[in-house]
Amino acid sequence: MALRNLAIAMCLGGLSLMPVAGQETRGRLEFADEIRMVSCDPAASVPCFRIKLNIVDGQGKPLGLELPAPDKLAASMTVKAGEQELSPFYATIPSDATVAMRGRVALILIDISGSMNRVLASGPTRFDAAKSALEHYLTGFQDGLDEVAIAAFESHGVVEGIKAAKFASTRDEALQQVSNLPAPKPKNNTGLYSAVDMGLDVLKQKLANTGGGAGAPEGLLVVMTDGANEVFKGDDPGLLAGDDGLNMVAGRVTAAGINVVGVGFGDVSQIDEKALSRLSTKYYMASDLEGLKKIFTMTRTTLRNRVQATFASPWGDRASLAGRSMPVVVKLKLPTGETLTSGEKSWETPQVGVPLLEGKCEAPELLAAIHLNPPSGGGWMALLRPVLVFAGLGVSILILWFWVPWLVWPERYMGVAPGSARWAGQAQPGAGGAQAAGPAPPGFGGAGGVRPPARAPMEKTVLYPTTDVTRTRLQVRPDKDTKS
Amino acid sequence: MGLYQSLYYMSVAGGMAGLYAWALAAVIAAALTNQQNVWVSDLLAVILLGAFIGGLGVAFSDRYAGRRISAKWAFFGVLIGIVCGSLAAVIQMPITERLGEQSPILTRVIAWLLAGSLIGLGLGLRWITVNRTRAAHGYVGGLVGGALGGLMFAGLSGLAPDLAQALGFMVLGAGICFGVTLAPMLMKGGVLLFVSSGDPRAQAKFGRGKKEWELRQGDMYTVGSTSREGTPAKAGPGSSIFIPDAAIAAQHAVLFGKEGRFYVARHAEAGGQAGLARFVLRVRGKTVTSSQELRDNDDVLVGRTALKFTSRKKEQ
Repeated sequence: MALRNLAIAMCLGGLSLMPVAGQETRGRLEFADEIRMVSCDPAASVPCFRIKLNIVDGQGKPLGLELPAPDKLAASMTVKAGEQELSPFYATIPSDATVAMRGRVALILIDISGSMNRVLASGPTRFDAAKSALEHYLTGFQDGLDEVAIAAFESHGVVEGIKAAKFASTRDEALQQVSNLPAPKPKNNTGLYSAVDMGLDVLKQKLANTGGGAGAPEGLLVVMTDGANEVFKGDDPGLLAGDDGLNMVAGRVTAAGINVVGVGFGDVSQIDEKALSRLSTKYYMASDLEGLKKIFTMTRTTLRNRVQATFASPWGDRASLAGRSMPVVVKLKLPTGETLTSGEKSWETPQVGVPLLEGKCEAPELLAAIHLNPPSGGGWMALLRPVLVFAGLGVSILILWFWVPWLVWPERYMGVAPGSARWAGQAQPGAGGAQAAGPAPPGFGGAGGVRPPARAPMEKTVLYPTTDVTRTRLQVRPDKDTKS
Repeated sequence: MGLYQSLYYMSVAGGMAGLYAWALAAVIAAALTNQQNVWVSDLLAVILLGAFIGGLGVAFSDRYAGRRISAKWAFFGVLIGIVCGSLAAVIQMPITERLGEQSPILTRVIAWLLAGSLIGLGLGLRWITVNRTRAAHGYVGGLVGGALGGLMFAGLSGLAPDLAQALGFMVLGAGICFGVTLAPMLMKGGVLLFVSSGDPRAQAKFGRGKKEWELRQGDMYTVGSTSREGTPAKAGPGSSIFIPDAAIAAQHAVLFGKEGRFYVARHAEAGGQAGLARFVLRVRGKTVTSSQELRDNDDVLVGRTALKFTSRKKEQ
């Protein structure tokens, strides 16, 4: 639970928290994770999808609302998958205990550019305040469940430094990482875009190694900065910068499906708020301790207000999903009559292959699947169709291989057609057929047929001496030879 | 077998490779039930595609070039395909990550283009020592095949699941093999055409299919009755134009293109007085004693086998 709050806890001392997204006040659903395809076999033969959503207000802050009773939650939800409206067969609100048991994997990136040495109004430097916040947060670290890596970044050794981050699984190890953070140097600039880019890679790799399933830990990337992306001569070559760099990293954040919390602190006028908003799924500007407490509260509320649902695929089997993009929009009808709607999130299939199952349904999901009897995938058809496709295309290949060439190049397979000539001058009068190839080479001419005439008994082959080897002729045997 | 026939059969062989790759990928994918990494499916599909196209492409190419299919070279083709397929999948990952959600169809087509072009390029590189253009043609063939296959997959999957993907794989394979085979045809300066042979073995081997050997400027070809197993290096042991005729020496004649013209010369093994007496080599009915320029439509008699030379550059 401690790491859950970490994103915000770092915003430390003294500053007021200013949630910064839009100004809408109406509640809505927000996807908290990627849409995942899971197998509900043997309860259902169709592939199923698992979704997780947070209930937030228009500004992205957790919203406390009265939710439908657990037994009516699934019926209160509708999922629009592609063009089809579906009802989930299973929905639940995970308890805090459940979430706590899953743990969380967090990567925290701390800006150590030169400006972090500036002194806050309350006394400590920004850097010292950040370290204090981290230490405070880690008091709630759950050994064995949570994992955290704390890495510093500036404009030198950005990629190497973040790649080398080690995930601590105990509080002591994590505190050691905090105390080992290098102090900011005056000449350090800020490779913010590259840091987020590399942080995503490291966290995704870590999450991939922890295995999947509903019990897998959640990932959180926290990026804390007091300024903007600033890369100058003498910094690491190839650091991302400019609009192109920002667009690239923003695209990755959107596609990664990982919670990225941006924290800007210090002098708000010096922080590139626009970039921070694009580099994170949620960002905060903090300026005092009170704001820090609010962030703690919000994070806990978000976890309580999470809804998880599972619905059957509108298509009967995985092959039918290949090559598709399935936009998903979820609606939840509250007991008050109000309807919360999510934004559109797309489930993307592999680019070349068939989508693979990302896990299996848990026991409660299987029970619900059996009880609600989701649509059958037409089991035998799903098995038979690829066999038929293979057989059909295989027969086509055989036809193309053995039959079509006979039509295209008949002379190659049937020899010389009767009546046609191989050489010019051999064609039989009145006979059609292939055009002759030209005059016959020496030794291959015939007297009017494809085959040369048979030798007469009186003919023999005479080989001339080596001085005249080019002339091999058929000669009539002298009379004496035939007589003898 | 004629050049156009080779082109046709190689394209069909490429399609066959695509079909096998699709079937095997489908079987393996069915067994993977807990895969968190979504790229595994693409990696698997592209590697299998590369392996089948590489292996069958090299094997059939050797067969249609008149050589024996060498297990060593077929395995080498498989290896090339696997490496190039893996490379394509790795390059595709960041593209998918950055572009996948905004432009799914474009991303899909790019992935297929990448797979096709890299596998085609790799397969073409197998003949880099004899024909550099094959790599370029393989690349272009893979690009075209990949684009068509990708569009087919992205556009028709909803209408015909399985079929669209299988056809996409087949079109991609056919495109690569077409490109790789087209290169020698486009680059040829002349063609040596089998006409007929007095030796039943040669007649049986080449008579029906009307075998053609493409000749390129700058290359040297050995005509003989010793089969070369393996790479068709320009000059080395064995014959690049192998004719199983008992009247043809193991290394009988040499054909070469130089400064826009083609020449035939006696091989040293078939030269000298004894060679002249024993081994027949005639052009336009005249015995070649040392070397002789070939002109368009010349008849060439080697041993008991009649060949015809046609030049791309026609006589004025």
